[in-house]
Amino acid sequence: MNDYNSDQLNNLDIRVDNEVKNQFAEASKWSKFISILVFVFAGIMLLVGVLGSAFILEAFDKMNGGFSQYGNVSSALIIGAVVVIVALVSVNYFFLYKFATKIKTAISTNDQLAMTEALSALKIFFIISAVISALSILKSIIDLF
Amino acid sequence: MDNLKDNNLLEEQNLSEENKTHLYDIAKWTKILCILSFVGLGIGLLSLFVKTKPAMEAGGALAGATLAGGLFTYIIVIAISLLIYITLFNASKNIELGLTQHSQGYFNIGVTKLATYFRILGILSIIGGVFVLLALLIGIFAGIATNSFR
Repeated sequence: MNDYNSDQLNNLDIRVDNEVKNQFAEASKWSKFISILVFVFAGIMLLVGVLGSAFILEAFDKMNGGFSQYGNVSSALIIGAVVVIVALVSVNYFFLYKFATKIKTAISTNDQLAMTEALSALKIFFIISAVISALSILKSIIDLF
Repeated sequence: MDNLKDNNLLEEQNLSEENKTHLYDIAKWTKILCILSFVGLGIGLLSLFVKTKPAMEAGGALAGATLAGGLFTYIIVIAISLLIYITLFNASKNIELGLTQHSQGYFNIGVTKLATYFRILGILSIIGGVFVLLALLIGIFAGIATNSFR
């Protein structure tokens, strides 16, 4: 009787059916594309931020005069800020990339472990996104008052 | 759809308890992300009014034009953001309902909405990427042109 009930409950359980697999395959394709695009733009941002900070400071120097005495400090601050932002974004999108690759493996080989790793990576991606979102809201509120 | 030709894909599998927990957490965090985004949109709109208010009170026509331009841009941003985050919110809601009510239907809708969310984000990334590349190219050419006229 117990076995029968257990079987009945298993039948009611959520399954990764073909529709779910197709949707995960679609999500995998797009999330891989998005993460690669973000990596490329993060690289460009790093390059522009590091090389461009010198030009930005030169422009400030021409506008204000005397700004150059803070030049080295400001340059280091700009480069530091760019590196931190790029690192944070890259780490976040690394988890999306991991989700994309692992979920593809999981649906093509029915690998539960790969599925677990994929869902765990997606969870971390959304957690980091929510934290970044909360921090930007906090900054907006501070700017407002 | 091509993936359906793969025999492995035709085999269905039950979700493990660990995966269900991860999906619950994904539903929870996507909901938090959506709520934060809706709040952020509201604060952004408020900020737009607060920043242009002093100039508006001074009676500047420029401030009026700036506010109108800002509002127009902001309406587009709000429309796109609502499209993205309502889709994600629906994904979150349906995945959670599917898991709590053991409903395959809700779960499938949730995963479909999640895939749609990534599709919308991907298409917007392409559009955004094109704009950024154009801006970079214009910047580079403007820089070259400025230097050649010196």
